[in-house]
Amino acid sequence: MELKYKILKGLDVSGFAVFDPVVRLAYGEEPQKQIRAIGKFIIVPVIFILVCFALTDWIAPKHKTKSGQVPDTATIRKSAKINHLIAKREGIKTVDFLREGADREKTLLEVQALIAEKVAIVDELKAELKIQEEAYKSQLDAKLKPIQSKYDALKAKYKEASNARKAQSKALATQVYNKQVEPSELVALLKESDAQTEAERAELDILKNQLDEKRSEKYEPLELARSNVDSEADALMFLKTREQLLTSRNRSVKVAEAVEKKQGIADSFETATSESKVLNAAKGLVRQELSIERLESQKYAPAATIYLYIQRSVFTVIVGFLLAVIIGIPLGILCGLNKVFMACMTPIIAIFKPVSPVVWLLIFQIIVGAFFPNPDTHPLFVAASNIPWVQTLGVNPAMVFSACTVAMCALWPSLVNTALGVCSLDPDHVNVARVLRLNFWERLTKIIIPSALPLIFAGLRISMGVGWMVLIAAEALSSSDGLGKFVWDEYQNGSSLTFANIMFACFVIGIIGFILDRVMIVLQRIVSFDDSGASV
Amino acid sequence: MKVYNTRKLNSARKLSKLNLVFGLGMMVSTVSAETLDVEKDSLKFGFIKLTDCAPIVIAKEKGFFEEEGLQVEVIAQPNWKQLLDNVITGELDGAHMLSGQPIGATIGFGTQAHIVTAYTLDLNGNAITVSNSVWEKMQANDPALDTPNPKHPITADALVPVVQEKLDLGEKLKMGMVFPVSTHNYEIRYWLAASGINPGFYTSEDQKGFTGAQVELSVTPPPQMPATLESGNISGYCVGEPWNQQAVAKGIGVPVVTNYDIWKNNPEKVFGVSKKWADENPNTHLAVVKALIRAGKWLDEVDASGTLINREEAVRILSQPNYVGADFDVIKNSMTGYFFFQKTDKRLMPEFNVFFKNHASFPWYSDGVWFLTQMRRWGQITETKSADWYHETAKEIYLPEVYLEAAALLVEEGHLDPSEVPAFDANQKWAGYKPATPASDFIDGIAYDGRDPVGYLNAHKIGNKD
Amino acid sequence: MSFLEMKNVSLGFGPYDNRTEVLKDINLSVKENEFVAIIGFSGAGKSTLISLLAGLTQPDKGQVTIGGKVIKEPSPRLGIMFQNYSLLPWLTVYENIELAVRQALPKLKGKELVEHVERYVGMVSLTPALKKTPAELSGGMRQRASLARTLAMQPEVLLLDEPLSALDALTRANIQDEIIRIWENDKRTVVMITNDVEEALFMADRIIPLTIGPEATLADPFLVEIDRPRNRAEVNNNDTYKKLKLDVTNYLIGLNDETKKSKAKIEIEMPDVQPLDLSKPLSKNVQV
Repeated sequence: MELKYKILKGLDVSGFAVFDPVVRLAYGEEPQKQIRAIGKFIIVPVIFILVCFALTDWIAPKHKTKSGQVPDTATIRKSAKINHLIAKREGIKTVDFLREGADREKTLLEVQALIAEKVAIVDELKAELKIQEEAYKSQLDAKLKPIQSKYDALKAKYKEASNARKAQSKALATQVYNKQVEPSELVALLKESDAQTEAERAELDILKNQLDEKRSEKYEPLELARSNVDSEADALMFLKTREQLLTSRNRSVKVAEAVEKKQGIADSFETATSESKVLNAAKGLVRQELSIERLESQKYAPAATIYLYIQRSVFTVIVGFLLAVIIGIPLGILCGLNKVFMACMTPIIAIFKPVSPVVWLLIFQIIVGAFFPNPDTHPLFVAASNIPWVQTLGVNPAMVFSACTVAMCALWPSLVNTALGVCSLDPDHVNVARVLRLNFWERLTKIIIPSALPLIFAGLRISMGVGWMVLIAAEALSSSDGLGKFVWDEYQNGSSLTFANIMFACFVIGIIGFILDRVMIVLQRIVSFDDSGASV
Repeated sequence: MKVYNTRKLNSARKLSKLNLVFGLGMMVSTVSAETLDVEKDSLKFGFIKLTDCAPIVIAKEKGFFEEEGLQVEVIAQPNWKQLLDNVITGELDGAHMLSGQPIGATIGFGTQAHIVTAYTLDLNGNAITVSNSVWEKMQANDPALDTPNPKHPITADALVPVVQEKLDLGEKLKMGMVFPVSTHNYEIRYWLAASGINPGFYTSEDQKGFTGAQVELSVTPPPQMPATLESGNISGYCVGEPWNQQAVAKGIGVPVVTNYDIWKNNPEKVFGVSKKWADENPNTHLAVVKALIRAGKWLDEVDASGTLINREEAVRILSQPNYVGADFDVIKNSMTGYFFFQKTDKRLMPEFNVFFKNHASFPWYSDGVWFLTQMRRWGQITETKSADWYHETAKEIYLPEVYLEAAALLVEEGHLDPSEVPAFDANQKWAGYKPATPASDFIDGIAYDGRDPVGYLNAHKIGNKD
Repeated sequence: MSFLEMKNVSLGFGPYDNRTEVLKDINLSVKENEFVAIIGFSGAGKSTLISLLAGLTQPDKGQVTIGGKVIKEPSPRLGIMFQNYSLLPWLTVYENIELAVRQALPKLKGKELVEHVERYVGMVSLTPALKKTPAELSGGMRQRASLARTLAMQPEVLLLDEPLSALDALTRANIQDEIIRIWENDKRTVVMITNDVEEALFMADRIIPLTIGPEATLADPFLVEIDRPRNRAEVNNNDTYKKLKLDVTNYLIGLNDETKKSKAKIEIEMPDVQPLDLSKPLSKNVQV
């Protein structure tokens, strides 16, 4: 029974009270009531979401744009899968690069077998693609032919008509010249002729557009064949790269080669015919040793994957958020304590708070950028490259700019809420402090801050939310590897999967934002002493 | 490894020594075929999502960098400005750059920094695309264009009435290019000016280049070109691939001319590094150039029938989302030697992208001089310069000596045939200058000789003259 | 001899041009170990009076002294127990009391300190709630915790501001007994504010009515000469008790009627419209 209440309390604190009835049901508490609650607050929302998905799938294919198809849920899932696949492949490549000995040979054999298999598959699919291309062409031709011939006929006809009109106007011009007709008649004729030409062109355009439309119509079997070839060819290419990484590009292989070469140089001492050759050989030996050393510590440089992006984004937002906290809370306390300070800060806050993160990013690139004339040797980055997990993220100036931008935008809610929390200190608590004769520091730590904590944390939660939103924009602009850059790059790729990837990123960003918010809620609940809780 | 650390060596002397390798067919014995003693072995290179970043991507994916003992991260950059800034701040070790970028940066147009290049990534590869409505008007103006396969090259003559029509309305036709010092900017200006359209001048006050413009050219990052065209903010653009083919695929515009038709085999992108980086990491630089040369050669490899054999694989790699990321089929067109001008107009363009053949990757001084003349022509260089200034500036930026040394090592390692390296005699006055480009290679029929920049400049009807 | 004294104390609130005298010419003299109850209606200024005694507020005129010394600021000698408990909600009962004891009796350390706190918690029968936070306690328990905190500081004077007003009758009686027991055990001077005549009669040595404000002042005291220990059941039958209860009640009712009359008069002369005070900063609404 103890456990049950712990779980319930946990759900409550973390803002997942909606699952309360599930736990109660599991413990057999008033099953009917729980089932009703589950039905209302879990099953109905789930059905609603499913309906939304279904609606998306129904509407998406109907909405055509020139920039591409609006993705349905299946395409978004596919995009998620592909991103995962890319990440997995990069992981495998990294491992392959480092494989050595029997392990390498065994893997190599496996990979070679896979390649043989894949080659056959790809050839088969390519043949299929050829057939489909032919099929597409013939069906397209069949569709185009009637329109095309209509178009050609019409065009010829109009050309004739236009020539006739030209001849007519020429004739009329002669008559005008001979003063047989009024010039106004010629003008009228020309006007009419122009209108006619315009109308004819419009008519032709309609047919032309029809042709274009037919040409851009998708032919499902061809699309399918193409995507099949693409995915298998990608897989084949990956396997071939693996093969290379297990042979010529493998670290242990390269090291072995270098060691052999070193042996060769060492042997050349024996056969050296002059002093200078001995010297050269010795120099060569020294260099070779250095190069072996370097090879031995080499690591594969994998492409950035969605998982790295996620880690970097989360890290950046946390760093930015902490910066905001470190700056915002003390300033907020000062504002709350001192009316003059508050009066000084108010205009600054009022002016800077509404500024867009994009502007801040550019400003930070200039201001903060000046601190890193040479990022490779800057102590900050050197230090970051020595921290276990952080080093895998690759801390760079772009990340610092993004974090600063996050901090700048996330600062205000923390600051304002802290100031409010400090200001709205209960007068009774002030009296307690006076009666107890607490000094300034004790008042601050024992009365003011604890009493302001619920409001401070409410501010922090807003800060975190703002920070996460800002980060995505900042990353897109600063091209700091992260989810923002992922979205931006995808947009720039302009491939058939672009929209699906952006939608996928949308979900990833949303879910991470949700998790961050939940964490903040839990923290807020933990420090809130009045049990009022936080709104969800 | 040899002399490279002691760069104090008079460069002329060194070049003459290198020249012996090719000029006299003798091997320099001190060059040994071991991995270079690189100063820095994990590098970051930036690129913009364009197919002409291929040599960098290929050198990584095919392991050419690794063979030089380098682990390289290749990172997409959002725009040319940031790419350059990242190279200057040291965030990137080197990058895929517009040919004009090292020059612009070095002479201080835009961000000032000394950037150098020892490798030209590719030739050609750009096209000018106009929106469907502009194309229809052009067709109306010139009925010869109103066929599924109009005759090329298409000049801007048919565009003149469209521009005039806009001017009559008190507006200006707006077109996009990717960067003030990009080849695209000069190419689209060249194309417009060849038909007598004034594309506008830069002045010391007007850094947008709108002064006197009949057509306003504004900067848009390449990947955003199609979207910007579609949204109607611009009526046309000049950009690299795949963004012209993308317009065709999406049916939002029509490429009218490739830069191959504007200037046959014009230099397009370079591999740029900061001078500081090059000085601090001479061996690394050499190793990088070696890997790039091999990648370029791999990209241009042909079989007996002259078909490019590795391009499809390259396209497969480039279409990965972390590189160019566009669909395989879209990139494939231009990279495998085809170009769609319309959905119905697919043409063979085997030299749309040249990465290596005909000494394409060599950093010619004359290429640098051409860009300098264009900067002067359009007012990015505000004052008159002497011919010597052009030559000296080009020599500050282009480093053929690094290319030659890398090539020499590759020849020795058996990766390169001596014939694939251009002859270079440092004792000759015009070493590193291409022979004069004949008038027929330019859309306006004006010949270019890098040895006479001022003469070339004065030959143009529209543009600053000295 | 008087230990705690107020001499001609006056205090007002409000801006200078519209000042309301809350208390006027208060004279009070409390002997050592005496238990004084001040009785009055709500809003008469009772809490202000206790604030003056505690040193939380300084009078406009006159002075408040303890043992002949002017009270200029709050001190641990003056243990005040607030009307609304004023426990710090983020601390447990133990921590609340410990914080007070540390300040009042800095010599207590370690085990002694713990024992001291626990003894007082035990005294108010809150030992089971030692580790609970105020939010988890009932009103009566909070009141007792507050009492324990005040007592644990071992002040020379206990100032109780309507300590039992918020409690139900049963709890109230319990705590009354508690206070009496403690007071009897270590005899301190007590000034208790209350609005309950029976409570005052049952607990105090002397009852002083506070007239109705504004310009409230202390009326003549009623001496409660009932023997201690007083038994709750028995006092109800005690004649002195009955008489005093009647006297005090009548006096208070009289006071009330009087003010009603005077108030009615005032209302005619000066409508009760207060101008908005814009000079004061809006401390509760920090909108930035």
